Amino acid sequence: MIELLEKTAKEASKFFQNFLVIESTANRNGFLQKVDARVKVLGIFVLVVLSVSTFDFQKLFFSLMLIPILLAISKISLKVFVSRVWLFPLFSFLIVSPRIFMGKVLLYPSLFLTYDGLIYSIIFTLRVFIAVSFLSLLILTTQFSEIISALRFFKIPESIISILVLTYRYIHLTFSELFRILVARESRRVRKMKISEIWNGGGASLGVFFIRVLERAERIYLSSIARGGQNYRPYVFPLRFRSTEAFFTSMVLANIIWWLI
Amino acid sequence: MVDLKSGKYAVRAQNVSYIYPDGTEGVRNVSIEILEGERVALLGPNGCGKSTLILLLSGLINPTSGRVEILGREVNKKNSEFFRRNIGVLFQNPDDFLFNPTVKEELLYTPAQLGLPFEEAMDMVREYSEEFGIEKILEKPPFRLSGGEKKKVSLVCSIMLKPSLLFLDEPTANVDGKTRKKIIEIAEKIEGTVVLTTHELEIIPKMADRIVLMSMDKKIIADGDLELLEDYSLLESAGIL
Repeated sequence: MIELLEKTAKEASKFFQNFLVIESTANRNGFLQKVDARVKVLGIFVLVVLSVSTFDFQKLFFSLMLIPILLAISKISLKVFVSRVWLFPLFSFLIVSPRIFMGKVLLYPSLFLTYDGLIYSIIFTLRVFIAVSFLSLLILTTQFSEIISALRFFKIPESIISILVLTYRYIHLTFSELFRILVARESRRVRKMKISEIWNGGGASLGVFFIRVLERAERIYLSSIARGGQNYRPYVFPLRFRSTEAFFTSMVLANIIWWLI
Repeated sequence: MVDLKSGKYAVRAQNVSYIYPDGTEGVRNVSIEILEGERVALLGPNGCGKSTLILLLSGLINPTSGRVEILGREVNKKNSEFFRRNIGVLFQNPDDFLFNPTVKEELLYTPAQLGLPFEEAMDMVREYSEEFGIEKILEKPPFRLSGGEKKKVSLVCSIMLKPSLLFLDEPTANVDGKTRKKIIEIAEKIEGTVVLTTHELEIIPKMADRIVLMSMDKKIIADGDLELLEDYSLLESAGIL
């Protein structure tokens, strides 16, 4: 049981380390990669808002169809994409699943499954999937510094940007520290341990984990001061609006029109 | 012989002590004066306070007691931008030093904070990345690099703005022979004042002309030229040999 817990923690730390950090996709010569970050951030924001503003499957259909098209023209493999988004719809389905048993029209009376509840749960999960997919497309095709520049361009409050920057900076550190502790524990375990020993050791490791993360965070803070300042101010480039931006904008506008009619 | 530029002090610390928030003593009653153009090696056993002294002498932390003056200025918030423009610091662990998503953004970080025009900054990135052989890893996340690559990137970040005062905390630790050679070459070319810590005695003659020896009681116990390296009994008593 405890091995399973440790394995889950290790896998989770690997997943979160890789979630915000994409080595190659943001630099590929794909369509979304070429779109100016400000146009892309605004467009993706509109697409996300549209997808979470309706329970009408027909309206969601357009957004759903847009995802594989954007993936293909942005040269992002389905495997990379799925590995990043699968957890969120699954989790949201689990959260909303009690709705399956609510409502009047029963699909299977003996199981208390309702047609209304099932449709609601599926559409809810679909909305989450579409929203997370668009956000993943943004992350997969845009350098983090460009996203930050774009948010500053749209006058997003500095406090929100700072939270984003700090989260991004420390998320890898946090999970890599956890991963190292778990691997070190595993490497030095020479016999099968009792549950009580494992829980005690686990508690101690958790304490060590928090101390190590705190100390590492302090050293990183000092190094950022040493390198010119704590406020992350990436370069801002002149706004571009070429054929790629026009095409992306027309995709978003088409989605809006589809949504309105 | 020490080749001094102007006889001015790059750093002056008087009776400096530092105690960490958890009560651990960092350094005790240290006084040191470093002239502009000097290349100083801080030597001492693990845990003697070398890294803490570097943080104090670079103005990154304030002493618990005592006084530090860097490049003729007191350490305070008002002077912090001046210090950051003129002081480079290479941290011992590159994982503490590199925190941006890609190597390119690491290199652009300081120029951006200091308001350098983008084209000028990119020219510097191109020039330095070619010179140090890191042009192929510019788009990679720093935490996925090898130890030697991380060290090289950190060093480039520290020296890009040509600081007049450079602190190198164990610059050649945990790197292979080729990378060590490259780092020494780089350090030899650096103009200005250099303060470094190391455990590798053989590299000191190439990188420094003055030695400051620290002991486990967090104090400076000897300060002199390279001849100190031949005082084996002193080095042994300090826990270095």
